[in-house]
This record gives sequence, C-alpha cells and structure tokens, in this order.
Amino acid sequence: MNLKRRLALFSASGLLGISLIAGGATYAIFTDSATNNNNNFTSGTIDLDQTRDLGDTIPGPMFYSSTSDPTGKYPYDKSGVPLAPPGSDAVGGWAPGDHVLRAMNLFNKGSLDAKVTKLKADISTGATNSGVGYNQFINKMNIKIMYPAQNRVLYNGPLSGLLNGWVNISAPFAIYPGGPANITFEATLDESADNDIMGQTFVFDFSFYAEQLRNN
Amino acid sequence: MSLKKKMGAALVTTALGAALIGGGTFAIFSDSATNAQNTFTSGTLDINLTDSAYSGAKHVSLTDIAPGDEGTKTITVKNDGSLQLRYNITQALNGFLASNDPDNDSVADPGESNPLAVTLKDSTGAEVTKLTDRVLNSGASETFTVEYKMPINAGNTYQAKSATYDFSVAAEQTRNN
Repeated sequence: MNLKRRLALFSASGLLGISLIAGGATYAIFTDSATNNNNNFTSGTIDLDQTRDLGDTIPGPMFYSSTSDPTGKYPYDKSGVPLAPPGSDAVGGWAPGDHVLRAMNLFNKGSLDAKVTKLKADISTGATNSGVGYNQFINKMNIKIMYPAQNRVLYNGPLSGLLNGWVNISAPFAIYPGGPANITFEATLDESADNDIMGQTFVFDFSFYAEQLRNN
Repeated sequence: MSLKKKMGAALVTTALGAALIGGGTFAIFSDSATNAQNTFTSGTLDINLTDSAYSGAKHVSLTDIAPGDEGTKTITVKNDGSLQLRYNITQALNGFLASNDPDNDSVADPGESNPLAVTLKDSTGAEVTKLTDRVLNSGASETFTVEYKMPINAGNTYQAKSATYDFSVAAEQTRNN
C-alpha cells in the first residue's frame, strides 16, 4: 500500500477500535462492589463582625457628638469610670481644620479564612442627605482608613467617594477566624469649609465587605 | 459512521464541554459588617452685640448735645456659638459734630477744633487699646462702655450738627487658626 492509504487505514481502524470499546456489547465476568458511604460535605461560613475600639467594650459608633446614645441604652462616654475612653473629641462640634482619629475592630467569626475586599459609607436612616451644607460637608470631610498592623491605607479621600456604593480596596487583606483586625479612621474637616455647614448634624454608617479567601 | 462524521462528532462534543466549563457567573461566600450611626455635628460661630438701651443696635446716634455734655452707653459683645472665637473691633465716628471744621468752610472759626470725642473703655474703666484678637469662649461676653464728651469750648459752628458712632466686631474660630 502507499503511505497515504496505510495512514488512513491505521486511523480508521484506531477509531473503530475505540468505538468498539466504548460502545460495545455487554458480557458477564466475576464482579464485586464496594461503597464509601456518608461522605459529608459541610460548608464553612464567612461571618464578618465589628466593634468600635475606643478602649471600651460599649458597642457604638466611632464618631459621636454627645455622650449619650439617642436611644438611651448606654452612654458613649464612660468618663468618670476607671479606664475611661476618650470622650467626644470634637467638643462643641466640628470646626474647619479639626482632625479626629478613631478605631474599630473587624472580626472573622466564621470558620473560613476571609479577605476584606470592599468598604463603603451610607447615610444613616433619617439623617440629612441633601442641601448646601450636606454637599459641602461630604466633599470637605476627608477620611483616611488604615490597617496599621499591616501598614495599609485602605482609603484616603473625601467622604463623598465612599457614598456611592462599595469601593474596592486596592490591596485586600486576609482576616482569619478569631483575632481582630484593628482599622483606624482619621477624619479631617478641611480648613476651606465655611459657614454653610455650621450648626448641622450628619450621620453615617461605615461598612466592610469580606469574601472567602480560598480559590478567590 | 464515516470517518469524517465521527471526527466531526468528537470535535463538537469537546467544544460543547469547553463552553460549559468556561461560561456563567458564580457566587462565593461573603459577608459584611457595619459600624453604624457615626455622628458628625458642626459647631457654630456666633458673635452678637447688645446695648444696654438698644438691644441689637450696633451704632449709636448722638444728637442734641451741648458743649460740656458727656455720657456713656454700654455695648456687650457675646459669643453665642459653640466654638471659641477671636474678634476684632472696628469703630468709626462720623459727622460734623465730630469734625474740627463743623461748618466745612475751611476757615478756623472761633470754637472750632473742639469736636465730640468718643472713647471706648473696658469693664475696668481703662481705655481699650487692644482692638484685635480679643478671645471669647463659648457663652462668654465682654462689656464695653462708650464714653462721649462734647468740649465746653466748642463754638457756635457746632450747633445743629450731628455725629454717628459705629461699633462693629468680626470674629473667626480660634481652633486650627
């Protein structure tokens, strides 16, 4: 046979062989079987939690203007009790140029290793969300969010940048079940803020988002 | 099947398999945590003037005065805001009664150059020399006395003339400033 025909014959018989093996007729031989039962698949959990960290164990916001919780459940400022945390730094209200540093702890209460990938701010329910004063405030209030233990800056810019939904952290960090990650918030009201924001109150919620670390 | 058809079928199957693996979105586990109700309240800068006789008035009209007359008016400066402030005082005395040439004829008539004089004094009775950067805490106030005096030697050209004294304050925050 010539080369071409031989090659064709080889591939044809090869394919024929494969189809015979794959498709072919049944026949009886000795058999046995074994099973491995009850294989459990339990999914792990991602559970991100937070507490503020002002040296106290009272839950509450990092930034507050008066020492009492509006709902009256607990005081925010334990001054007068041993180990008192710092009280409201901006006594008498914020003035342009003011600079306040606060902190919070993020916990991974789940079973899976997680990584924190996004953060954002929202206007608290019922708080001022428009107006000349509000618009100026969110642009003149600079927030620098850091993870000092790993020397990371998570966000550094005006508060307005955090109010449009989740913002991706450029260098996400891992958070393992248990130990907290201490996150600091540095808020600075720019000196160029003027009388338009005088005597007003703005309230915000700060959120973090974590995803599973594995395969991600 | 013919060879061609068989190979064709194999190719299609593989292609289909690849599409199944590659395509579609997937959800991974995630959660979020929120530190809520962070309150930011801005302070207020508010400076106000009160006069013992005229509340809110910032200038005092002095008329129908005769040579030798003198009197006082009090002005109180108050910080009604929540922030400490520092302020400057600006005063102005205008009008022919306070001029050296009340009839404005550029001629030194008898009794001229004896104008109405106004002196600003603080609560201790001393003349106020520091007119800038006076500091007031939130809620605090300072009282000044405006003393006016018409010299006994003022001549007739001072008759039927008037003067106004303006007292104003401008404040700014002391913090970060």
